[in-house]
Amino acid sequence: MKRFLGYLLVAALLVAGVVSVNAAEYEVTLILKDNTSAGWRYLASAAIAAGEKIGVKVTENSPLETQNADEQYNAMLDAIEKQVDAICIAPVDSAGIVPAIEKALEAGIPVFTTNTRAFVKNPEDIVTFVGVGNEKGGYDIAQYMFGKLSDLEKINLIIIDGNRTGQTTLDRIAGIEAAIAEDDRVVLLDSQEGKFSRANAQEIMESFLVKYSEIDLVIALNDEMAIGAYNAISAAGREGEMLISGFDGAPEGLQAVLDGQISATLNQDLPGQGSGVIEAVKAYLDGESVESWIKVGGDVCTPENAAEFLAKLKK
Amino acid sequence: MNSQSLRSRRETLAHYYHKVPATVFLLFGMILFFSLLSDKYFTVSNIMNVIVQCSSGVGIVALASYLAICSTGVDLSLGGIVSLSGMITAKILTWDIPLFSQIRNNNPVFLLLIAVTAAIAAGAAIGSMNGLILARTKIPSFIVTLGMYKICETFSRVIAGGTTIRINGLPLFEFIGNGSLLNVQIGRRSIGLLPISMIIMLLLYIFFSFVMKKTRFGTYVYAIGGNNESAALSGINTVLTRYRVFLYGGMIAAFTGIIFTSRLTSASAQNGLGLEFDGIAAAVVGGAAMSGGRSTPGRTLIGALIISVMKNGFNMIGMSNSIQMIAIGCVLIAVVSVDTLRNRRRFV
Repeated sequence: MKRFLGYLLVAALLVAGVVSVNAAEYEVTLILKDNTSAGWRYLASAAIAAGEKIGVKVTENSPLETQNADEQYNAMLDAIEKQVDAICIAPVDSAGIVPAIEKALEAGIPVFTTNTRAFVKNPEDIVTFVGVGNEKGGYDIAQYMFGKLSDLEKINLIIIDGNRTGQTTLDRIAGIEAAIAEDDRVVLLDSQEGKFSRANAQEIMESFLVKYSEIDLVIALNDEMAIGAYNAISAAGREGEMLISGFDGAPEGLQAVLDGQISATLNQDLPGQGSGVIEAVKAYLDGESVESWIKVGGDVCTPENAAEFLAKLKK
Repeated sequence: MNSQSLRSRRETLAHYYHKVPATVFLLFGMILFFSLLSDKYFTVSNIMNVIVQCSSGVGIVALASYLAICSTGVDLSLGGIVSLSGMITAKILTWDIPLFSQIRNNNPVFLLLIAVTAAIAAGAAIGSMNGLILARTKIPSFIVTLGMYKICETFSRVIAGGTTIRINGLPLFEFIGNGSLLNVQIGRRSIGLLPISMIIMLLLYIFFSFVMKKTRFGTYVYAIGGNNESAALSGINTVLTRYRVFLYGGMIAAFTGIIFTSRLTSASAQNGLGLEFDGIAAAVVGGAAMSGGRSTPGRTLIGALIISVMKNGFNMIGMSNSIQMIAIGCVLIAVVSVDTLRNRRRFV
C-alpha cells in the first residue's frame, strides 16, 4: 500500500509539473473535431498563439478519434464544470451538440463556433460563427473544376464526401449540387463518406477505380481526402485521366496543388478561423460587440496563386 | 484488552482490507488527486457530471463486457449494438409513415414504449445471434462479435440513410438521457441529483449482482470461467449458458443506445462505436481476468467509474487528450499489475 501511495504521489508531481499556473486574463476551452489531422492542428495552434498574444488561455480538448460526437459532448460538459470564460467548438454533429450548448448557456458560459455551425434553435445562442461560406465555397470550386474540363462533352464525377452529420459537409454538398444543376454535362457517378480522412479516401478511391472505367473529375470535401484519392489514382497509374480538387487550403493541400497532384483547393483559412475565434472571444468578454458571422477565406487556390497562399501561411 | 483479542481484531481488519478491492483505493486516490489540482473538481455538479458521463457511456456497456469476459469470451459487438439500437429508437420516434405519425400525435408515450422495446429487442436479437453462432461453431467469440459489430454498424448506417436522425419535440424521450428525478438549484444552474441514466445503470447493476450471486445462471458463468471442461463434465449446459451471456449482453448494450440517442437528441451511425473497448478496459480494471471466472458487477462498476473519473479529471486540469490516453493506458496496466501482485501475496 505504501508503495502504491508512493506511485500515486510521483504521478501527482508529474502532472502538477505539466499543468503550469497561467495568469491569463480569460480561460477558453477549444473543442475541435479530432486531435490528429493536419487541418485541425493549424486551427488549434493559431488559436493558442493568438491567445498568448492577447491574454487568453486556450486549452484544447478535442476528441482523439476523429468525428466522435459523444466525446465532444463530454468535453463540453467538463468545460462547463471547469467554469471557463468561453467555449469555442467546431461541432462534429451540428444537431447533437445543441443540448450541451444549452447547458453551457444555462451556466452563463458564452459559446462560439468555428469552422462548423451548430443548429441551435435561436441563432443568438451562439455569439459568433467564424468560418468560410461553405455552400458558396463548394459551388465555387465545383464551377472552377467544371470550367477546367470545358473541352469535355460529359463529365463523370466522383464526390468523396465528408461526414453527413456536420453542417460543413451538408453545405459544401449543397453548393456542389447547385453547380451540377447548372451544368448538364455533369454525371454524378458515385459518392461516399470519407470522414475527412486521407486513409479512408484512399480506400474509397481504390474501389471506385475498379468500379468505374471512366472518371473525369474527383471532388473531395477536404485536402486530406483529395491527397488520399491522388495516392490511389497514381498507384493505379491513372493520373492523366482525371482531375482532383480539395477543400481547406492547408499547407499540404497547397503544396499538392503546386506539385500538380490536385488541381485546386478552396482556402478556408484554418489559421484565420483559429485566431479569429479567439479574438472574437476576447472582444466579446471585454464588452465589445461582435458580428454574428465573421467570414474568413473563400478563395479558390489554383496552381497560379497557390504559392502566394502558401507563403502567407508560412509567415 | 488482552493480546489475543487485539490480534484477532487485527486479523479481522486485515481480512476486511483484503476484501476491499484495490480499485476502491485507486478511485478515492484519484478523486483526491484531482481535487488537489483543481478547486472546481470536488463539487456536487461535477460529481453528478462524472456519474452521468459514466452511465451514458462506458458504465452500462462495461456490465455486458464483464459478463462476456467472465465466461471466458469477449464481446466486440457492443459498440455496434449501441449504435444500432440507438438508431432504431430514433427511427421509430421520427418515422414518417401513417401508422407511426398517428401514434405520435395521439399517444406519444405509447410510441416511446414501442421505440424502447424495439431497441432492446434488436439488442437481444444481435446478442442471441452472437450466442447461436458461438454455440453452433467453434469460432472464437472475438471473431464472431467483431463480424457482428460490422453488421450492426452497417445496418445503422442504412437506417440513417447517410445522415443524422434528429428528434424534436419529444420532451419525455429527452428526459431519459438528460433528465433527473430530483434537482437542486446552484446559482443559475439546476443540477440533477437523481439522473435517469444513473438510475437505469444502478438498477441493471443491482439486478445482475443478484443474478450472478444468487441464481444458477450466475454460478454456471463462474464455473465456465473457472474451468469450462470440468463445468461441462459436472453437467452444466455450457452452450446454453454462453448463449444467455451474449443475449443479456446485447440487451444491456441496447440501454446505452437508448440513453445515447436521448442525450444527443439525435442518432448518428457513429454513436457508441469504440465503447466496446472502454467496456473491456473498465471490466479489466475492475478485476476481471481474460481467463474468466473473476470479478463481480460491483467491481466492474468501480472500474467504469475509474475510467470516467480519469477522463473528466484530466479535462478538468487541462491536460491535452493525447497525453490523457498515455495516462489512461498506464493506469490500466498498473492496476492490473498491482492487482495480480496483491493476489499472489494473498494466496501464498
